[in-house]
Amino acid sequence: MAYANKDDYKKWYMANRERLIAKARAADLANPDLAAQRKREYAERHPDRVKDAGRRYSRKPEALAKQRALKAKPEQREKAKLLREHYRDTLHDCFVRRCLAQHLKIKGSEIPQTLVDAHRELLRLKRAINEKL
Amino acid sequence: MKNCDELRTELALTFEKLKAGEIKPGEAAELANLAGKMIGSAKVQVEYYALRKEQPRIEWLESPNVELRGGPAVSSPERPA
Repeated sequence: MAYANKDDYKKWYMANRERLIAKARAADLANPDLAAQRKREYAERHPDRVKDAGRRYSRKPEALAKQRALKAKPEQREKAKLLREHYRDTLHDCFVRRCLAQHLKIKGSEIPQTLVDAHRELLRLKRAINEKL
Repeated sequence: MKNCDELRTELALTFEKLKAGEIKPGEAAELANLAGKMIGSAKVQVEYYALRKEQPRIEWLESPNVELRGGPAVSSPERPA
């Protein structure tokens, strides 16, 4: 649909917005594989936009309520505990980064990978020393 | 030890020697203490530049194999892809 100027297109879009969204949604539901592929490609092209959308969603009250409800479940807490212990025992990247960043004013994700790898070896050595002593 | 990778290799070697009983835990503890100081100092440097919103190349943190593996040279505190 070619429009000579942007304003006309905007008017047309606002008048047909709901219909177009429903149409796109129906097409996605009819072809889930294609839709998933398109989503993956979009995420690869615009990782920042996807991150922003996630952040916006996580701040919504319904998302927060869902998160709180999930956290309150004992089985979920147990699962999270097991996962934390797994990260600790295997010296996972996220655990080492958290250790490194715990007294810093930056996030663990801002620490270079080489430093994380070196700290992992140090933790492994310290654990072995404590075992021997 | 010229860079972080060499420190890591040295730590791994010490770990192996300790496991094999070739060195005493006290000796390994000395190296671990020194390595901790070096890592702590690098950590502070990374934090300093991150807080100043600067992204200089920190030679000590750069891996000599980065170019060989085809990855980009690490010039920022971000994790290389």
